[in-house]
Amino acid sequence: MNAKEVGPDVVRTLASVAGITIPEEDIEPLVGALRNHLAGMKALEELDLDEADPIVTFDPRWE
Amino acid sequence: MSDSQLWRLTLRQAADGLAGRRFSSAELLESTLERLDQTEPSVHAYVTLMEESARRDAVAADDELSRGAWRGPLHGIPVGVKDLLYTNGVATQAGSRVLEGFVPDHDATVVQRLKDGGAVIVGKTVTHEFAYGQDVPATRNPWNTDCYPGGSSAGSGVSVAVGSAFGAIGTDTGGSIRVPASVDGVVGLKPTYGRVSKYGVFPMSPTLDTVGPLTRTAEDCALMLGVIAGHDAHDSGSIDEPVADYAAELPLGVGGLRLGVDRDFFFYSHVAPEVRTSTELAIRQLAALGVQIVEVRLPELEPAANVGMAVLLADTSEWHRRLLRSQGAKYVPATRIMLELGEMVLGAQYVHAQRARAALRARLRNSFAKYRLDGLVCPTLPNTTMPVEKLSVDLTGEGETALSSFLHHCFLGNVFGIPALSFPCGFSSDGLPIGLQVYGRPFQESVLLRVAHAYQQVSDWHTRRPEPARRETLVT
Repeated sequence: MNAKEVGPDVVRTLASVAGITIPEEDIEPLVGALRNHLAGMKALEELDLDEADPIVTFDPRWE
Repeated sequence: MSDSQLWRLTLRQAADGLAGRRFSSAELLESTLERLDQTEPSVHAYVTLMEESARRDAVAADDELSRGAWRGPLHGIPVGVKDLLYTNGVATQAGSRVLEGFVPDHDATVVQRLKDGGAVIVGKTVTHEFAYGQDVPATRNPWNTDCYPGGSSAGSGVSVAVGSAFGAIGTDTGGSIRVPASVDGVVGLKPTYGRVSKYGVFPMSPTLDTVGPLTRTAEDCALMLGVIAGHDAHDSGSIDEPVADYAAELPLGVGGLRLGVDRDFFFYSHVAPEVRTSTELAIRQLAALGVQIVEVRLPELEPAANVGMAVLLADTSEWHRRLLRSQGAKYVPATRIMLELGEMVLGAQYVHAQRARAALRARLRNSFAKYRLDGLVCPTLPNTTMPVEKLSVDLTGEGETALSSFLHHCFLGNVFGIPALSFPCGFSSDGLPIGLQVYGRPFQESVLLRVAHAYQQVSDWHTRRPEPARRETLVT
């Protein structure tokens, strides 16, 4: 989704999907915060990541 | 020096004085508590004082010293601990109403190591709520009590600056040790990820969180790191690498070390002229000491803050998942909004950010090899501190805020997991401290400490102590 398309309805939908109840006064700042987050993610789309696996930690050893 | 002025000593000087029996730990503590009484009404660095146990521990430390039992350089030294770390039997609230009344039944590993090393814990220092940096804590900057003290390890930075602790423990997930170090005029070390245990520390992100010392000198920082560093089986992120004798390596000097300067990234347009001037001068002084300054361009630094934010948002919200649902109204609204935002980070976005992180880390490693770098040098922050009413840490709007500028210069240390050290390199014309930051290769804290120590042999910024003006009212 384009960051500029984010509005209160998108925030409410995402909150519902996440299973959280958001106070009405949080909606407007969350619109701005979500736009910033999406803009940040958009910037990462331009990176060449072919050589990289995600940083995750999984150690199958039992001891 | 009279007993009442003992708080003015560095940690090293205090340790030497105790070892030489020139004064006792009890006397050192009383001087520290007297200074604390003088300064707390102005700066409010502590949220919980532990005077009774501190006096008991100081007497015990003196008793051991009299029997020739010496636990190390922190034996009998008064220190502060950020209220994000568990302290057995002592309230630990992480600056939040959510944890009101919480008293841990065990110590964080770092607290235990301080105690094992004979340190005397004066109290718990103020933090932003859960270290998220979204609220404005009651602590004030001792150089100008109208100003922001940095955060989230606000009380740790201020207690060291004013002399109500010889050293303090902070945590750093995006700059929370280095920001207060810079704006309060002290030394602050964010160690390599996994170097210092984070067991018993309220988490934000399991792969970004670090714990480290704030002190008045690089030498003090080396001493404190030597006590708290090392593998801990209780911390899944702890890494079993040998711990250097950081203090012993300080005399090795800086001749031949190569430090890169990326001017496009670290000296971008938002860097204040006085910060630019002081840090450029400090870099020239390092060159005069024998450091080879290398002009570099590292494009991999630019996306680091975006990567870090996606990881931080999702990780932090995951930890607060139950608390947000059951006690959401108790959070400071700005903290709660960040936690709600983290719930909206999609799984694929999180994995993408972690993939980008891996790629960028590989590129940074290659750049260090290509330029044969021992580290990077830059201003710790683009600006000095600012009046609290002008502080903008809101990440919900567009454009540069104080917090986004902090993250620009500091977050990459956490994203790449590399060590970073901030130390004073000047003051602005209105008397506010300016910090210089050095980044290093993983587990090369010794190199950073050597750079700061060498600089502090030819400069006196770190010797200046604030005399905070008394405030009429306190925000609590």
